[in-house]
Amino acid sequence: MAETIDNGKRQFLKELGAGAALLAAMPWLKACSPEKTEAASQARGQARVALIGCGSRGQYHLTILRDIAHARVVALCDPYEVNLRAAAAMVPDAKLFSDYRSLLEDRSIDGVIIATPLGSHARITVDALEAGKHVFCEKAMALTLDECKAVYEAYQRSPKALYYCMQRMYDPKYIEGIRQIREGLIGDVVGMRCHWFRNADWRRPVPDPSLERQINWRLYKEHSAGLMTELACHQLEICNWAAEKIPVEVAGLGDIVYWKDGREVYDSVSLTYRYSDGRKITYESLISNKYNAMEDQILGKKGTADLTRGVYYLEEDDTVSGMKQLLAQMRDKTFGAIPAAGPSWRPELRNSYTPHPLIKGPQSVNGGQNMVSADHDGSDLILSAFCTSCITGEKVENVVEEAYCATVLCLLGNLAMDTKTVVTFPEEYKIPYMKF
Amino acid sequence: MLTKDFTYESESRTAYCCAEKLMGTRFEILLTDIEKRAAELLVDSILEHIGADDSLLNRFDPSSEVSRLNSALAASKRGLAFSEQMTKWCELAEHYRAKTGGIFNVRYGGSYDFGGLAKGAELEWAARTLRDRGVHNALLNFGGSSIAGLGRHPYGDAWTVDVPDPFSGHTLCTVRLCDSALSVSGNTPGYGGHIVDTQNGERVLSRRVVVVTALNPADAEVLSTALMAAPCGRRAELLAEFPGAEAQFFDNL
Repeated sequence: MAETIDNGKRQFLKELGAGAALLAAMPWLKACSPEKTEAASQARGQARVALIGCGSRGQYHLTILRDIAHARVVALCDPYEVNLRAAAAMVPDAKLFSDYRSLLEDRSIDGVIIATPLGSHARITVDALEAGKHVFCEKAMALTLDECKAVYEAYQRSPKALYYCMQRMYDPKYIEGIRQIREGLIGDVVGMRCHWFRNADWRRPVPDPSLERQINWRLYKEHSAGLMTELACHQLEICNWAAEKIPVEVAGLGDIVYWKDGREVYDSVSLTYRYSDGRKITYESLISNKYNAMEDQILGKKGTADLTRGVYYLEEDDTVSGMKQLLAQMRDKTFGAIPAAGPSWRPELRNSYTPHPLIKGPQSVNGGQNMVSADHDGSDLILSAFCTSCITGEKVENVVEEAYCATVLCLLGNLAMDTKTVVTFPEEYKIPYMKF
Repeated sequence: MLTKDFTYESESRTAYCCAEKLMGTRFEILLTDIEKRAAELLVDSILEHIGADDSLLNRFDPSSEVSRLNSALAASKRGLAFSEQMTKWCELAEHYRAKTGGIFNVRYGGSYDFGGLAKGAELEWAARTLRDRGVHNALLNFGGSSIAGLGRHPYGDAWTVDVPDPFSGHTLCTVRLCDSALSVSGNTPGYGGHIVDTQNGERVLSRRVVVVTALNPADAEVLSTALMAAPCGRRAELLAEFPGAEAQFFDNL
């Protein structure tokens, strides 16, 4: 079992055919090299990591860490006793802390994994970097624009590695999809259309009313930036990969349409992000209807890639003609009808489009309904790469920049909705990594 | 410039060629039991012939003869000079107009549209050419709505084609073609009202599909279009004019 994830990494890089061009475009994948992990692990043993935030997501990370041979969980921290005990049951040898600052003083710890509510990400990340720890943090980066800037600057000063759990950066169908889009698979990219629909209240059971804001932190603005940072964050990142730019402005409307239960964050958002060349991201999220589920569509002049499903569709599709199926019949020496006939062939009907897979072989598709995790969503690879960094001390390229860009765009979206204005990307939050 | 995709599979001795944007749609041809070189030559000569007619009849090309004719008609010019080929097309159209009691008419609203007729007539010509050159088994397809089958599928006793319901995608019927042709007329969700009842000038908007098989591809094409536009009461009378032709009607889809 211990080798599962390293084998997974090997398979992952092999499937991608991770050549020099791919690694240059997506350099964070270099940290996934299983050979690098093996060498480091043999020389210096396991990474000694601590988990800060032992709720459902933190416990999910613990299940992954059990399968990472070069990782050892040595400490756990949560101010909420129930979660801390639950995590301790999974890692009985770990030291227990209720205050993360005490944990950071422990010099035996190489790196920390932060799975706390968004509102505390920035503070704990900056403190951990300054305490000389490598850091793995859940997305999004931070609750406010200024906190994002503070984290970014702390990282610039720090020699330590900082990872964010942006799973699409490690998901083969996204990586391969973007590579093929950049090679012209769907022609010029002319727009993006993303949405994430669920039908659930986003609530957790609360044993005592005094804990409502801590347990249901996603619903309150002091801890959470709502749908944007929880869901849109992943999707906006992909749009920027496809556009190879960052949007210059955003407009949007947000409301609480259905879940009027005292929550403060929107349960319905619709936004338009605009790039300097006029291309747009149309983004929508609603959590009282799940019909449309989750989709990340990159729209090209010649076709559309739905990266969520790992498929693409062509506008003029000459690969699916019934006559071509006849050719296959001749090859197989079989006889069958061709499904080609119908009144006046018209390529523009959506229901007549045929999906083509972006990657060979089976792929995991997350329908977007699970709150904690999806199998093979990339979290295991990121954690494994992080533990390697804890051993080698090597920073990972572009991850902090990607998380910064995606988070800032989410927060600018919230600003546009809160103020009902078109928000232009503020100069003070631009970083050299961004191209506009 | 014609975009052409030619494929030859030597094991099954099958040639396939697809040409985009011919007569406003995709033209495909599949020849079985044929040498590669012979197939290439045949396909090229067929594409060249259809391409030449397409440049004569293409309403969307302002320099085509039919466009010049339509502009002249719009300007009410008299004494128009027709080329020899155009005269032949007009004679063929007149033949079918008379045969359908005026229901099939390429001239409507002051302009000519040979689109449907041309696809059928080209299939007829191509099928004849293939037989003359010793090809006995082939399938020719104009955009999925006009199909001619010569001989049979190498592993069957005919060519079979499923006709889908354009609104649901389900199969409406399966048609066997053996030295015969299929034409499907109908409205689709994204393309309705393109057939006009020339008797009263109204566009046919009903969710109807008409599937016609006939020995002659041009007959099939004309008949399916006429049956789409004709009132139900005239269907039998129209069919009687085309001995051997069969029609299936899918009304109220």
